Amino acid sequence: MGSDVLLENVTMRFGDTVAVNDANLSIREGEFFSLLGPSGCGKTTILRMISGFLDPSEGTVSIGGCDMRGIGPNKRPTALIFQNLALFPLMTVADNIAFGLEVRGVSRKERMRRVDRLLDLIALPEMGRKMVGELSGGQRQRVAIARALAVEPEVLLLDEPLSALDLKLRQHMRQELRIIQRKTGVTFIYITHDQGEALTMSDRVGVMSQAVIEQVGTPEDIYNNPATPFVASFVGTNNALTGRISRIDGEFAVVRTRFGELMGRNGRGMHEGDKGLLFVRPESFFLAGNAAAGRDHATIASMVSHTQFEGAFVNLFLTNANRTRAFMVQLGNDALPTIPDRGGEVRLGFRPEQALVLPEGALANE
Amino acid sequence: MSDFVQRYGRIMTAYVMLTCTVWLLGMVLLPQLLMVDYSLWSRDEVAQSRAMRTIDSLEDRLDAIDDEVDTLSAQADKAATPALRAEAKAKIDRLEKEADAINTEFKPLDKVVKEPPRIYGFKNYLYLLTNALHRSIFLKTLLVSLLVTFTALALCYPIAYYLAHVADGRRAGVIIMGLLVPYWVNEILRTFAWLMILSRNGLFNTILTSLGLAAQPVDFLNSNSGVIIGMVYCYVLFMVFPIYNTLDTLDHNQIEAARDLGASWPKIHRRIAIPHAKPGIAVGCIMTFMVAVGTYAVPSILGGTSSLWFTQIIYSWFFDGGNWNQGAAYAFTLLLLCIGFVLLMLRVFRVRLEEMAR
Repeated sequence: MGSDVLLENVTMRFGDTVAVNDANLSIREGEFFSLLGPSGCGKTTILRMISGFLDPSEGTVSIGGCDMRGIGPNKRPTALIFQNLALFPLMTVADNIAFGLEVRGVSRKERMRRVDRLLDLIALPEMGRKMVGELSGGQRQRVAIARALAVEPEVLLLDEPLSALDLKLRQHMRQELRIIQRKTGVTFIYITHDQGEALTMSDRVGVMSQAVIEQVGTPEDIYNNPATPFVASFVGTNNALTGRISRIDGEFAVVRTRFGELMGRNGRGMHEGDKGLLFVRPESFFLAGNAAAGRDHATIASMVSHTQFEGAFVNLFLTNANRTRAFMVQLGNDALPTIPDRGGEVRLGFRPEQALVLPEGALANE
Repeated sequence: MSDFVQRYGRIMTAYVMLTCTVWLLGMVLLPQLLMVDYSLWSRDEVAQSRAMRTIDSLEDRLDAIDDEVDTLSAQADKAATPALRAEAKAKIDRLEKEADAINTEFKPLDKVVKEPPRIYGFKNYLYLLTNALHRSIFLKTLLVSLLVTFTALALCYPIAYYLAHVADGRRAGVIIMGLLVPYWVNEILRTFAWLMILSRNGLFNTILTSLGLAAQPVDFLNSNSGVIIGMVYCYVLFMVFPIYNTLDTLDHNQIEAARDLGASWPKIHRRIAIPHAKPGIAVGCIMTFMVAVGTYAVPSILGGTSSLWFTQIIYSWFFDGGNWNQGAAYAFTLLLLCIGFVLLMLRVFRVRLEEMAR
């Protein structure tokens, strides 16, 4: 059986609420796929439909070309890693890992052999006799992965499994997960609300908002060419300026904003007169000094509200004249001496190819 | 201790200490010790009856002396010579002295009759061993209580699991109310309701005969089945709630994880749910067994004459037989049985006492 996962026109309703609305997804065999979205966007519901705890109200979920409707979670070629891991506290580490094999009637000797191999894979050899309660957070994490891998699933489903770990450990586990995924070749479907996790680990990312899958693509694609205002503002930080498109210039669109006419790539083929949003990432800005707008860049005049020193770079927050909307600008550490004091005026520049014009739509809440 | 004083002040500490002491001494230790003491002695009935016989003979002798004195004083009145009169008087004096001596003997003897001396020993316990009828009732009480306990367990585990992991909040609430409401009615009344249901012409027999499941009414009441049904009904709560409480703390994700890893439902229960619920199951079994062994109302209402319960025998030793010592020995034996069952359950379920206290 192949292990590609296909969702076709999948809708899930709980009473009057629609948790997933007409989702289409094709996840390839051996892929590390992340489903990214804020909490409550329906990503866990999709995971539960793939694992078999829920059957969709409409549409089909198929794994390896087989329609999975009516097939229980214990009969599917998937294994789920729960957000709280759900390790069995009354069993040893080895018994936890061997549980899936035990219930399948695998002999004790074979079980021991496979447990040993998995303990090696997760780099916890000789830990089999310990109780789950004696392990650290990161170790538990790895045991949960081993327990899921023990049943040799075609698809491994991970429901925000790193959310309980501290930052350092989380970053370490990202690498480790990626290594394990490469070693085993199992399809990973990873649920997270942490864009850092999604961008660093995944082959492809699906971004969800309010029951709808907004965009599916590679991490670079998602970051550089967001398809919707939601994706543009949810993945990474972004500055958004509203306005109306005043003219189309080849691949570019010019938007009339409060700061004058500004140019950006026309991402979605918009026309003159459409209402749109111009997005400029904080790191795409540079300080333009006193130079007027050149042919290759536009400039915005603004006022310094405050700065935030982050080490390698500096975050600069700006307000416009009537102190309303703030921009965020990210500059290199070396720009620090050139930043005016609070209340001082700066001119920001950006190149049109690093700005993106999208149709008006909902932004992600900060 | 000084910690406690600091936190709650002197008055509160003194109050807590006092109540704990009163509780431990007055409610736990003293009654038990008193009962053990009672059970270990019996009245020396031989000495008692010997004393009674001695009293009888002494009283006879007093009567005889009275008669003799009467005759002697009559003789003295009619005596012809002063010498004869003096002789009779002297005899009377001797007899009266004897009577006085006898009268002093009554007091200790009366004491023996009223409060016979105590003989310490295991006679009361041995009596239970040698009395075939009582022994068989003791064993029957034990076996039927075990049966009631395990029937209740088999009935309550699914209910508890359903309440904790299947039913949504509203439905679980309704079911819990349904379980609780009958217990607002007094146990005796509930048991009488079963008497009506189970009697020869009762509801149960009517249904059985009309469905053709029984050719003639079944006599539930003069057999153990009535008692078992009544007790299971009366004591399910003692089983449901401890199990429900422990199952409720089982993370539902663990059940789903087991299912996701391919476990069938029986496997999930055997490997995940039941091990988790073990402390609750142990507590439920212990409580149900205790109340079943110690019940008096249910067997006396539903048991009829042919199925006596051990508590009924204890009762009759105390109130009909008037032999408190024998009753105390029986009661203490029952207590030992219960302690034994608690230890057995702890061993079987490999549960420690601290875990059960949760």
